[in-house]
Amino acid sequence: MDVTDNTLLTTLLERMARGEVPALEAFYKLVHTPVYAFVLKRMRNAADAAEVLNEVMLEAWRSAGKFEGRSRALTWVIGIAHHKVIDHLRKRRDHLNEEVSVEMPDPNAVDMSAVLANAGDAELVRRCIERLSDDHRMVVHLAFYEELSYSEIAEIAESPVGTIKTRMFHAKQSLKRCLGSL
Amino acid sequence: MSENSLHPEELLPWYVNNTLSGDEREHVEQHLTSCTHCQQQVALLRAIQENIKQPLTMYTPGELGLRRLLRDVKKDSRKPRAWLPFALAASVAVVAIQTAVLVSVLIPQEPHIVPLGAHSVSDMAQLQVRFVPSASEAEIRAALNEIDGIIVDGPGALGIYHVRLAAVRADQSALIETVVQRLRAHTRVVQQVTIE
Repeated sequence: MDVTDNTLLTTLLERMARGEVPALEAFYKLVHTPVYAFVLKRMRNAADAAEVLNEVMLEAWRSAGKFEGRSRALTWVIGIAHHKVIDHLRKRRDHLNEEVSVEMPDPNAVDMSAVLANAGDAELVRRCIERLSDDHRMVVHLAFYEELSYSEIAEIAESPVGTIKTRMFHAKQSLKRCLGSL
Repeated sequence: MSENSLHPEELLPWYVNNTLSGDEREHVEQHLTSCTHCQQQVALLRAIQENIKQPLTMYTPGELGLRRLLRDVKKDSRKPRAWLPFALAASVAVVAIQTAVLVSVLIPQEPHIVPLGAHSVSDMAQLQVRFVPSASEAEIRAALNEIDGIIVDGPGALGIYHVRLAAVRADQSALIETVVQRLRAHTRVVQQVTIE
C-alpha cells in the first residue's frame, strides 16, 4: 500500500464514512507518518505532536463523509492537521510568526558558495529550518518533504496562492541568511 | 512578487519539487539557460530538498497511537445523543428501577462480606510504565504477574500505562522500590518505570 495512492485513500474514507473501523485502521497506518512529521515540525514537541495526531485522526473519522474528492485525500487530512496545530499553538501562546531572532546578514549580501556548501549539510539545514517562523516552516515542509504544489499548500493553509509563493520566497531568503551565517 | 518579474524566483521551489504546470515549467527552464542567479537559487533549493528528505530518526506513535485512537473511537460511539428526548430518558429510568426491584425480590442476595484489613483501591501503589514496542502480550503479562500488577489506565499519548500494584500500599516505599527494580530487570519488555 502506498500513501501516495489517492484512489486507495479515497476508498478508505468512503468506508470510514460508513463506520467501518478496519478502514480507519488501514487509513491510520498509511497516513500517520506523514501527518505526524508535519505536526511534529510545527509543534516541536513529541508529546504534543502525538496528542494532535490523535485529534486529527479522530476528526478524519468523524468527518470522512464530508470529503468530496476535490483535493487529494492526503491533502485533505493535512488540512485538518494544520487547523489542529494552529489551535494548539494558540493555546500554547506560541509566537506563531516570529522567526527565532539571531543576528544574520542581508540575504543578498551572503557568500553563495558558503551558503551552498552549508546547504549540503543535513544538520545545518535542519537547524536553519527550526529557526523559521511557523508559516515559513509549514510551506517549506509541505513543498519539499511532501512535494505538494503551491495550489495544494494554498488549500491546506486556506490562503491565496500568491501568499504561499511569497511565504516561500521569504522562507528561502531566511534560510539563505541562516546558512550564510554558520 | 509578480510572475512577470525579471527572475521567476517565486516559481523556483515548485520547479525543484516538480509540481509546476507545463507552461510554467517551460518558462522557468528557458530562463535558467541564461541566468546564473536563478541557477544558484535552484541549486540551493535542491540541496534543501535533498536534506529535508534525509531519513529522520522520528519515533511516531505507531501501534500505540492506533490503539489509543481505536479506544477513543469506541468511547465516541458510546456517547449519549444530545437530542435524547426527556420522555425516552424517563422511561429508561422507570424500567431500570423496576428491574432493580424485581432483582432484589427474586434473587437471594449474598451477605455482604468485607475482608479483614481490606484497603481501598486508592491506597495501593501505582506505577507509570512504558513497554518496549516489540514486547509481546505474553511477555507483558508475565512481567506484570510477577509483581501482581494490574493495568488500570493507558496508553496515553506517549504510550504510558498506569499499573496498580495489588499487593503493595502507596506508603510502602521500600517494597515499591523492590518492585520497580524487579520490573526494570525485564529489559526486553519494560522500557521505563516511574513511581506515581
